[in-house]
Amino acid sequence: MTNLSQTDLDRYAEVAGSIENAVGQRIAGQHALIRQTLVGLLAGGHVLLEGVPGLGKTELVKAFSSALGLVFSRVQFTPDLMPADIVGTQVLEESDSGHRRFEYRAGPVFTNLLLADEINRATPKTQAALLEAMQERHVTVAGETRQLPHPFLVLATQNPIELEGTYPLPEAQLDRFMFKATVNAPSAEVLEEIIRRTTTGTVTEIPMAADISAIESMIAMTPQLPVASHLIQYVALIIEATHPDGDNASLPVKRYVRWGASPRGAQSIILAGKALALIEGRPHVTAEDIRWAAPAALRHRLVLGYEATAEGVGTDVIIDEMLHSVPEPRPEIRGAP
Amino acid sequence: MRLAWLSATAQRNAPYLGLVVVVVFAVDWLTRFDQGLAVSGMVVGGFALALVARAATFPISPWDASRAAERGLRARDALTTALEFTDPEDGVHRVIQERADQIAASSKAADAIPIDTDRTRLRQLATAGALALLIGLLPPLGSSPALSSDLEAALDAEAERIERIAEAVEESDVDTSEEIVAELERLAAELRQAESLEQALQSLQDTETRLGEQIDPRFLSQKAAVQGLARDLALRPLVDGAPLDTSSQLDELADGLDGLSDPELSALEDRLGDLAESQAAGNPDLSSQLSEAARALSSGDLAAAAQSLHNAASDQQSGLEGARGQQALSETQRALEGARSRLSGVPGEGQPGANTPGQGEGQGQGEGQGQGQGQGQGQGQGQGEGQGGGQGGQPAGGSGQISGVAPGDGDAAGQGSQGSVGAGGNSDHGTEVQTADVFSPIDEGAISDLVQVGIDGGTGDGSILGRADAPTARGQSVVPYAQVLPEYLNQAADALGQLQLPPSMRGIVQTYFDLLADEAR
Repeated sequence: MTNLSQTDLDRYAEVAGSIENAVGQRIAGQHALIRQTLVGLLAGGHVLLEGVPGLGKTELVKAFSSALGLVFSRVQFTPDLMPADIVGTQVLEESDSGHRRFEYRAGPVFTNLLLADEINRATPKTQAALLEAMQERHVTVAGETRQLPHPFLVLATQNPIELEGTYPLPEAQLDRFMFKATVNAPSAEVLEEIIRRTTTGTVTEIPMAADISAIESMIAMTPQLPVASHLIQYVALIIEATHPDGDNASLPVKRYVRWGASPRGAQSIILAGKALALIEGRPHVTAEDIRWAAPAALRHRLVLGYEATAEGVGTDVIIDEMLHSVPEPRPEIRGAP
Repeated sequence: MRLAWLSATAQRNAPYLGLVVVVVFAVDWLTRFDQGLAVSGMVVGGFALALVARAATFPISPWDASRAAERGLRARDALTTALEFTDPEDGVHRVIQERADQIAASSKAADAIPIDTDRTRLRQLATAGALALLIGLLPPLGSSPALSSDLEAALDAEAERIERIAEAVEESDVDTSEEIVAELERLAAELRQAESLEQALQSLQDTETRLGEQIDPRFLSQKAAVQGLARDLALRPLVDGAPLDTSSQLDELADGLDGLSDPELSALEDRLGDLAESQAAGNPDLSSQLSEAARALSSGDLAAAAQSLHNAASDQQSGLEGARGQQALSETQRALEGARSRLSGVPGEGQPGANTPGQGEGQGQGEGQGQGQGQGQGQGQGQGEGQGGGQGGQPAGGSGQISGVAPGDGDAAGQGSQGSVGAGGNSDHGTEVQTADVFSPIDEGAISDLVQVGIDGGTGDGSILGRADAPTARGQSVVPYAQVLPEYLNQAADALGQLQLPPSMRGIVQTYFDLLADEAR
């Protein structure tokens, strides 16, 4: 039983709208990217932003940190970055009395909002340290487990080009991200707005749209929204359709996909659908919410075969086709809308 | 929702239904099924009835209804979710219910489940309907409606004629009557059920063929022999005061041999020898018995002669019965030929023979003329039947023989068919000419007589020009016997002088013209 009221729902939608407006003051265009990032954060997930340099990924994360009023850290991942640089380390300290002891110095992971910039440039060992923290929401240093602050949200970025000297994230670690948002190049109109905003020598201040307690409350509220059975069935069918050996697999999936999405994909879609419904002020999730969330939740969870690489077929194309092939639950009565 | 289902299903199936109707109309048009409209109506009506019955009875679950309604109202899963989360104590459930109630209160059923129109399907239906209408307006393929009704009447009339023939055959009680009646009854039924002229003609042709297969090829000569003997004995009885019946004469003669004197036995021996000779070709069994009787008389064995005469009487009787049966088959076959000619609608058709034995026959209405030409020696065969009679063609020039057949077919309405003239063939080996059956016209359904006269002779080229004037009233000829009889008598006399006919056959010919002369007087 939930104790959410219409007021709570209205408040949720209001705050979410404020956050989007606040971020939108800094980030021109990219409404879908802002919405995806916000949904990922309110669903309690981590978001991987992928795009070529200069599209505003880092700026987007900074804007969110300002709007949310969360403690923000940024780590620029480089090949020489060590795990201790992420999770912190013990250093030998000498007290005034001359007594020496190891003191733990927390790493940048101890924050509410962590920007892991160009995460694919760090070594797998360092990546693993961060990804473990993302999953477990605590770190263990020198045998001592330390809880991360709550909320703990990671927005990571990676560059799909200049792949030399990078360490692509393994599929198992990509699975830790709830969403993978693709940052596309802005249109001419958006670009015009970006130029207008960023070449005047002044920086637009972003008002804080929500404090940490409000964000915590919203993150806690999101899972409480019920989802109708037919939509859960719909999501299950979608996930099943990503598996090339599944009964519902379409021809492109059978041809290009080697491994389908994990149950985490289904969880991500449902949670994202709930967050989206609340953001839009609805007390129920819709099939459109499911279809909206599916690409961001699945594109980093599908492992494509060499045929896809050879033929230049991307995950988005496959997911789009799959969503068309999986029928939304409809009444069996012909003539019904 | 039921209406929506009804509308959607009807529109979905409408093109197929239209296609079925088009096919039914097409079949009707191609085969003159004549039930296209009724069948189409039954198909469409049955489909509509089944559709309405199904729409009224199929179950609709609340989930189906809410899912359909929220799609029509673009309520985006609000109603279906409200169906599932109904706990009034739960805050979110209450909000969900309130949202669903709000949507339901502000909506109309017609908006929730609109009845859509599938223009593509309806266009297809309209096209099919137009096509069916077009086909329905077309005249039946292969015949016009007027011809159809005429043909139907003609087929009925022929069927009735054939049934009358069947009754007559049955009453005649010949040994082939059972087979003939069965064939005729079947033919009458087939004519009534025939769907086309071709089918009716084919039925007639098939029946003719089957009847023809039962006719003995030696039938004509056998019949001539039997009838010739009967006429001979009628003119010159074997026993004074004996009845005219041939078999009885032979039996009575056998029983009275003991009472005859030697001169009488000697004369009887000669007479029996002549009779045996006349029967050799057509009735060899009878001829053999008569020869045996003559030999027995010659040797003085009266008992053996009596036995042979009894046997001859029996052979004559069986020969007569067989000839009657064969005659019935032949008559029936020719009656069917007449029916086929009438149905085929070819008036006065004559078929001159070129390199084949000449053969001509014709039928028509009112007055008509037929002409035929023949050259050289040839065979000719003609047959005729009908009321009123006609006149065979006349020879002109040369020494060729004519073969003219002039059947007249008159009816109560005063119609008669023209006589047609068969043409003599130009075969160098022609040996036979057949005269017209002018003295014994065949009434419909009656078993008439037939005479065939074999003629040898005729050399050189010749031509035949025939003309026939049909009677305009039943039983009356345009040309009275008296006018043509002298000429016929002369020709018959000439022919009898030239041809090698047995004495008995000459007697038959002579008797025939004597009878005509008596009637003419």
